[in-house]
Formats: sequence, structure tokens, C-alpha cells
Amino acid sequence: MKDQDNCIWIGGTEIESLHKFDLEPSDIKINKQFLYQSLGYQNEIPEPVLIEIDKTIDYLNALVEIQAGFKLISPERVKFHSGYILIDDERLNTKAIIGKKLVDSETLAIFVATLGSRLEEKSKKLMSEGDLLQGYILDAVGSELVEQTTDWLQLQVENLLSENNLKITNRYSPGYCGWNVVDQQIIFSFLPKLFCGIKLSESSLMVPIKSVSGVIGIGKNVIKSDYECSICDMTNCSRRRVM
Amino acid sequence: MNEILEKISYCIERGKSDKHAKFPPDLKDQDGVVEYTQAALDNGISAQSVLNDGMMPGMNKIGIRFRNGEIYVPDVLIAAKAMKAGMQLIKPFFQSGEAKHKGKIVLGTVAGDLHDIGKNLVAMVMEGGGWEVVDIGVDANAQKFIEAIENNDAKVVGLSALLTTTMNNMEAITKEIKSKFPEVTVVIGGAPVTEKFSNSIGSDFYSADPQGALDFLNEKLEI
Ligand code: B12
Repeated sequence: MKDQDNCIWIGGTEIESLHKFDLEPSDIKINKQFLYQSLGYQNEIPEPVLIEIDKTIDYLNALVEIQAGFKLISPERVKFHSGYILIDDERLNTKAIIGKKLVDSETLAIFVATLGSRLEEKSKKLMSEGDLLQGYILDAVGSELVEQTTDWLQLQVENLLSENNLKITNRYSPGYCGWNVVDQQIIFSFLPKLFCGIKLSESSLMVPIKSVSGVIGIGKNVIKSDYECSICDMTNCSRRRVM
Repeated sequence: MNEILEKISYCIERGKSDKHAKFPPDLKDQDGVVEYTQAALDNGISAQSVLNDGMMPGMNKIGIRFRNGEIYVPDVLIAAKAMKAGMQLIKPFFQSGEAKHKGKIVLGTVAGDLHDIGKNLVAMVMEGGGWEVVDIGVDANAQKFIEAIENNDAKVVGLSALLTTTMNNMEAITKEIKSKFPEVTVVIGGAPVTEKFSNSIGSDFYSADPQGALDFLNEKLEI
């Protein structure tokens, strides 16, 4: 992995900077427990599923091209309100749930992460050839991998800022907790074109599919909690982290 | 019910495709869907009956257990694979016209959306329920749906979407389908879709899971 931009945030004075990482699959560890959970299982997992998961994790390396990055925005460009955030004149309508979590921040990191398209192409191919279980497990492993990549990226933001006594919030994504997915258009407008190879469509779909976007609040007095699924109203979500 | 047909149903439910399959461990070295399907045909049971009275009841049980949250997607896929193995043996009877599907369903993910796993699962459950699926893929606009309905004389259309933005495209597509083919039944689904939304756009049915849509179609079309 490498940070292609070693510009740093200096002692509380803002420096806008862009950070981009190309990761090896071995940099990111798949949390199997989370994977089982995302497939629905709490305890007993059928053997073919376990075998397929192990097989998939083994051949995953050839199918992913992990890229992740974030941009730190200058504090004077960002204004936080309880239901929205202004960056310059652009308004991110986070709505109340996420707005409240970010309101004590001084500025934002805008982030994206992706696995590239090869994995989803392979999964599609497997499914169309009738290998439904294999295709489905590969898709689920991909989703878990991109989530773990985003955890890793969040840690990079945290480490970089902690050197300057700044803290971070949890990460929040458009499309969750009432924040409309269309606001990705604004998020992407602050990133270089095709940053990390991700294209945002008119319908606010990221291509490759296995991609995530969002923001992280930054400040001296903000809080990050371990898992925040409890704030989300989608209680039947298969990916709800039960701790 | 005939004992062989019951075995077919049971093996599908347990995901036992053929004798050599190691899964499930307690059925090791025992006959599976393939052997029982062959036995049924050898005993003069019609391919239609193998499908309707052997395979479909097995898949139906799986669908219900999935809807009740007792089993999960991978379990459904294991059962579907076992069924598929048996289907290979009765396929020729569909081609010759001796056995018939319940009808054709056009399935697609709507314009602007590229997610297809959910749609693929719906396709699989519908096939397991005796329907013939015409899968028109992802990013399908009204035109594509309409052509597929026309070319296949389909009675039912299923629309899928995974984002709220693309869910909104379901409205125009449903309206266009309905204006051209008022008799065609439109069912919709996908993570952001709700019953309220479904009613508001004039679709006939919303289901959070594929089995619900299958039950609805079987009931509505009295099959
Ligand atoms: C895994 C996941 C991801 C993964 C992978 C996504 C993928 N599909 O490959 C990752 C982490 C990459 C991801 C990213 C994002 N995600 Co996401 N993700 C999910 C999650 C947890 C599961 C999706 C899934 O794969 N389900 C498994 C499949 C099999 O289920 P399904 O497609 O829903 O299909 C089932 C049913 O819906 C039904 N069905 C489907 N179609 C049809 C059709 C008919 C006719 C019928 C009857 C039934 C039916 O049957 C299927 C079987 O039961 C859902 C939440 C959830 N629990 O559903 C959110 C969800 C889909 N994501 C969401 C969002 C917002 C995003 C992001 C925009 C977040 C962001 N800003 O980064 C991005 C977008 C990615 C992109 N490319 O644009 C939202 C979308 C709603 C919205 N607000 O627009 C959801 C619903 C979560 C939420 N907030 O409620 N996501």
C-alpha cells in the first residue's frame, strides 16, 4: 500500500489534501464472523457454505483491485448544522440522525473505497452458468471485503489526524439513515474525476458496484463509537452488526 | 402422494442432488434428486407430475422456510442446485411440449441499476415454482420490458431495484407496461421498495421475498 499524497494536516491549521491508496488483498483481513452474519447465520453453518467461503477467500486475490482514498476539506469551507452540512455553497442534506452525529465536527474527510469490477463480473458469470451458491458467496465476500477496506481507510484518517490531536466521528454514507443517495453527486464533485476508478452514474450508482462512499467528521471534540448500527432504522438489515 | 415423488421433494429440501453428493452428511451414499427423478420417469410418472408433485413441493417448503427466517439465501441456493440437477432429466419433455410451465415471467433490474443478485434469486424461486423465466438482465428500460413481453407472450413482469433513485424508475416503466398491456401483472421488489410505494405507482404486488410473489401469482392466476 502507498499513500500517493503525503501532504499532511499541520497542527490545527488546515491543509486541503488528497490521499489515495492502492492496497493488496493481503492488507485487508476478512472478518469471517461478520461474513457469516451477513449471510444470515448466527450459529450452525452448512458445510457446503463453509467450504465455498474458504475456497472463495483463497482465489479472491486475483479478482480484486482495491483502491481507497479520502480528501480532507479545509475547515473554513465547511459549516455544520443539525440536519445538513454546507461545503462552500453546496448543501449535503444529511438529515437529523446523521446531522446530529456530525454537528460538533470542525471539518470533513470525504472518502471512497472500491474493489474494482472483476469480482462482480466473475460473480455474474458464475450465476449465469448455474453456479448460484458460488456466485452468491463471492458477491457476499466482496461486500464484506469492501466494508473491511472502509474500516481500514477510516483508521488511516484517524491515525493521520491523531498526530495533530484531532479526533474523528464514525463514517456516514448517503443512502443511510434518511440521507438521500443522490447527495453522492455532491460528494463526488469534491473529488477528482474517476477518483479510485469509480464512476458515479446519473442514478447515483457507483460503478464498480462494490464501492462505498461517505464522510467522516473531524474535530477536537467529536466521538467515534464502536458500532453504530443501533442508530439505523433498518432493523431487519442482514448486515446489522450485532455485538 | 407417490413415494418416489415424496423422495424427490425431500431430497430437494435437504439439498441432496445425487448419490455421489457428500452433502448432507446423513444422506451420504443414498440416492438423490437425480436418481429419484429417473426412477419416477422409469415408473411411468409423467414429467409434469415430477415437476408439480415432486420438485415444486420441495422448493415450496424451502421458500416458506426462507420467508420465515428459518433458513438463509445459501440454503435456498443449495436446494435449487439439487432441483436443477433433476430438471436436466425432465427438460426434454418441456421441449417436446409434453410438460408445460405455468406461464412466462419477464424479469429485469430497472434502468439505471446494475444489481442483479436479488433478481437472480427471484428467477430461481419462480423456476422452482414451475414458471418459465425470461431474464432481460440489468439496466432495462420500458422499451426492453415491452419487447420481451411481446416476444414471449408473457403474463407477468417482475421489476427489481436496489437504490431509491432507481426504484423511482419503476413508476414510468410500470405505467408504460400497463398502458400497453393492461392485462399483464406487474410485481416489484428490492431492498428500498415498500408496499406503499408499490401501490402509489400502480403495480399489482410488492413482496419483500420471492416466495411471496410466487404465492401471489399462483393465487391470482389460479394455478
Ligand atoms: C451488501 C450491501 C452493499 C454492498 C454491496 C452492494 C451490492 N449489491 O453488491 C456495498 C458495501 C458495496 C454497498 C454499497 C452501497 N450501498 Co448497500 N447495501 C447492502 C445490503 C446490506 C445488502 C444488499 C444485498 O446484497 N442483499 C442481498 C440480495 C440478495 O438482496 P436483494 O437484492 O434485496 O434481493 C432480495 C429482495 O429484495 C427480493 N427482491 C429483489 N428484487 C426483487 C424483485 C421482485 C419482483 C421481488 C418479488 C422480490 C425482489 O428478493 C431478494 C431475495 O430475498 C443492503 C441492505 C439490505 N439488507 O438489503 C444495502 C443497501 C442496498 N445499500 C444501500 C446504499 C445506500 C448503498 C450505498 C449508496 C452507500 C454508499 N453511499 O456508499 C452504496 C452504493 C453502491 C453502489 N455501487 O452504488 C441502501 C439502498 C437504498 C437507498 N437508500 O438508496 C440499502 C438498501 C441499505 C439501506 N440504507 O437501507 N451496499
